[in-house]
Amino acid sequence: MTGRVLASGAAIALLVLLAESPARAVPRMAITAGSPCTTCHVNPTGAGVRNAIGFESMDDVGLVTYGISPHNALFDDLLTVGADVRAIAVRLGAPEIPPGETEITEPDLTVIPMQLQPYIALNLHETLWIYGSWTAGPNTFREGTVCDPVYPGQSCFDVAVQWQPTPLSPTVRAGMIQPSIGIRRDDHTIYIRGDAADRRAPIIPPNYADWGAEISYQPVSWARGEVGAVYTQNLDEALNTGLRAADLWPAAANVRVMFLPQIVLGGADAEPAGDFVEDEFGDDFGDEFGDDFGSFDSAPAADPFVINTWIGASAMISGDFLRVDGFAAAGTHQGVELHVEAAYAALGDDYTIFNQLVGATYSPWAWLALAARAEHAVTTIADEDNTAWQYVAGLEFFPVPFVEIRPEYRVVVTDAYLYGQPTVQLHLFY
Amino acid sequence: MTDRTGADLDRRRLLCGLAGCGCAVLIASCTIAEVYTETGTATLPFDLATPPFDALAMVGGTLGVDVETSGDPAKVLLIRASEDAIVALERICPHTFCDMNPANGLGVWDQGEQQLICVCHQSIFARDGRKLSGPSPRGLAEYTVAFDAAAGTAVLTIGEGAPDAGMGDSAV
Repeated sequence: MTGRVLASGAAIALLVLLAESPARAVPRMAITAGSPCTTCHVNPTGAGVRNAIGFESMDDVGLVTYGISPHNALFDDLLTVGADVRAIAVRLGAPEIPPGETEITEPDLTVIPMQLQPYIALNLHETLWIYGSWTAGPNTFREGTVCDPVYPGQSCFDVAVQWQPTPLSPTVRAGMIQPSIGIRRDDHTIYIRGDAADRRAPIIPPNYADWGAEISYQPVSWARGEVGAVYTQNLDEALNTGLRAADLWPAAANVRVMFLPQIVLGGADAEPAGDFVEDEFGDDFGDEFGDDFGSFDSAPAADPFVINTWIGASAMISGDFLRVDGFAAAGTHQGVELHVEAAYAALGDDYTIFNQLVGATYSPWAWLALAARAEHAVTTIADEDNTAWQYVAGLEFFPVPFVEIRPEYRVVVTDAYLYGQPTVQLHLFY
Repeated sequence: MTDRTGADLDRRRLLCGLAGCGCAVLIASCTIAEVYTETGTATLPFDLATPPFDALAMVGGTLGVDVETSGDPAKVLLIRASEDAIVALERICPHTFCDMNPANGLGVWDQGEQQLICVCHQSIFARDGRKLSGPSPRGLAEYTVAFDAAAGTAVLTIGEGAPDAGMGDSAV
């Protein structure tokens, strides 16, 4: 009973934290709301099935809204379902001057399914979840191939048993899992996990997972960490494709440490006056979080300006493979967010990767965000550099709840070509 | 303090959204393309009795050569496809630019099937460069080889006049 009360209290607190920025898509969501990934996802490291807060925070986010959607939690919250479906219209490939010709040939515009991933989660007990997902591949519907990974090392499924004895205790998850590596992102076109020498085969592919276990712990609001280990079956495939050759141990160890200090400027002396007017949620958090759900009949003198920040690092090691990520981000409840990340990977002595990313978003309304990022990727093979730059600017537009249209213009510059093109991603989620 | 009605807000939101999308479409409606490498022209005569071209003396033999041209060097795979034919194909896979040189293990010539396989991601190309399967966005360029089997000599031509049999297939 006490656990349920604590869990309910924590859920309400997190809902209040989210109230001002309900449409902050991953990982924009977390940094602008100042809440961890687990606020909205069952998986404490983000991605995958959305919990009640994750679902409800997106339920009314759209240029046009139409009321409450059927909830994704069924049978008295025993079963939670969800999905991500994503496709992109893009000219995949590179411009070139074919041998024997003088004109530049551009790749054809094509629509590529990027992700069709249904989720399911069972909440067997308030402390125990079992969840997983399956990822369809391009041949799944053409040829009936159930497991059809697109990228070397990609897993067509993940499944985990997750146990958190109390809401504030460490979380253990075990199964076919993705270890915590840097910041997990939902965009398959980002270079940070890629390889400039083989840009269609990321070293950590989307939906990478291996059998293993990880412990996540956030003892205080401003710090969290993960430590774990996985069997390197899929990692071995990802790191031994094309020109890559890595001699891995049977297992890989990973660790991630993250600090999440919140900077509060002004408003410190603002004491609420008068009686609290209870809102529709019946909470007693008032406006100390700057939410819209309740108010004092005499408003505080000044709202504080809150900057949520992240700074962290992760490492993964197995045999002669080492990957180190460093990242930092800052975001405000007003929808402004800035993030940077750098990743270094070594596959033996002659193959090293150093990728960097800087990005920013501004969300004037919940249903629209302006996003831009610049990326630089360098893969050095036997002292020869392969370099790629990518500049992306676009919108994250939610016309109706659970539908995102992401028009972008992206410019890719490599040693061989420069190519700028419009792309459009369609993302359906639930 | 202005009190806006729900209808006003909805209309404003809709117009803002449509205007934003319209601007995005306009901005995004063009492509920019520059290519920094350009294959020029060259001819390369060779004798199958002379190393390293003796690798082509036997049917099924292959040899990767980098040919200096008036532009950037051309990376070419020579294949002794039959008694009376030497085939020359572009050696860099258009998918992720793997160098399909059999010498480094990234290209495999299947003499029986008359197919070139890119080991990196299993793109398969026909003898004339056409893409048969795999993720490559197109086929390979084929260069002209004038082969005198009796004399054991040949001339590879890069550039002008060279056919590009495989370029038409741009399926992803």
